[in-house]
Amino acid sequence: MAVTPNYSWPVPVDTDLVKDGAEAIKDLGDAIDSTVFGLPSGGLTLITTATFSAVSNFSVNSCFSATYNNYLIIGSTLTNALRDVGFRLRASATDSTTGYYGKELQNYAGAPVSKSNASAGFYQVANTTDQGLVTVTIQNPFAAVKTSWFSNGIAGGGGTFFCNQTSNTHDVASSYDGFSLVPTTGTMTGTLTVYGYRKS
Amino acid sequence: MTTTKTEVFIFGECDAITGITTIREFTADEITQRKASQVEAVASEAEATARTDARISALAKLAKLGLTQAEIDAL
Repeated sequence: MAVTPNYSWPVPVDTDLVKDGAEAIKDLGDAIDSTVFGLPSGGLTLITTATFSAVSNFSVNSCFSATYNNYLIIGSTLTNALRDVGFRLRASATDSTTGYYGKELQNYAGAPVSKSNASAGFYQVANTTDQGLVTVTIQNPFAAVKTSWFSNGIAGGGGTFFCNQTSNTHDVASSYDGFSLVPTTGTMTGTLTVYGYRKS
Repeated sequence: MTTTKTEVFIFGECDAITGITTIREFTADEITQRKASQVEAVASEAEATARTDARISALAKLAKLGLTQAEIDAL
């Protein structure tokens, strides 16, 4: 009897008897079952992907649930007006429009921009040049506690390169099952992908 | 005769369970909220601009006091 090089599963060798084949297959199957059953189940799970074009607002409903505590949102957003895009939590298809606090650092501004009890948090710096990249790491949107998130964005290139880093808290201890991207003027085009971090 | 052009706001919405995206126009409440957000954004930008201008002014005054650029950067 030999074993496989990675998981040491038992496999027959060329000289083993054919009459022992059934037993060899059973042993191999048991070993694979044991290995797969014990594999760690952590990691990211895709929840949804959405695209939008020339909209004044884009919302994703029912993406947060009790299944996950932490989420990763990866977005690519292009706006037609040079204004930042805000981020709101929502429940049952209705945005929460108060209680957002945040700080945003931008590469083109000397001082950080603040939000205090605002109607939206930070998502992405203004970007009219090309599809940028935004990542949002958000914690506990579904639990009835304060929700916090970071967002990091890049856009453009060369002389029109923009980047931002934001830290946000929604100081309302309620449960939310979705979110909205809200430019304050103009429209936006892009994609969004939402993943959940498995708890174990 | 003049006509008034009304801005149309388009609302995109995706349901993560069904994967279906729908497009519709803003409701009256959403338009009101949008306009309030615009006012908030203008105020926020004005505050940021004022802080940036104040920083530039402060840096210029430090330079007039004799601080080198390296010393200013170290502050």
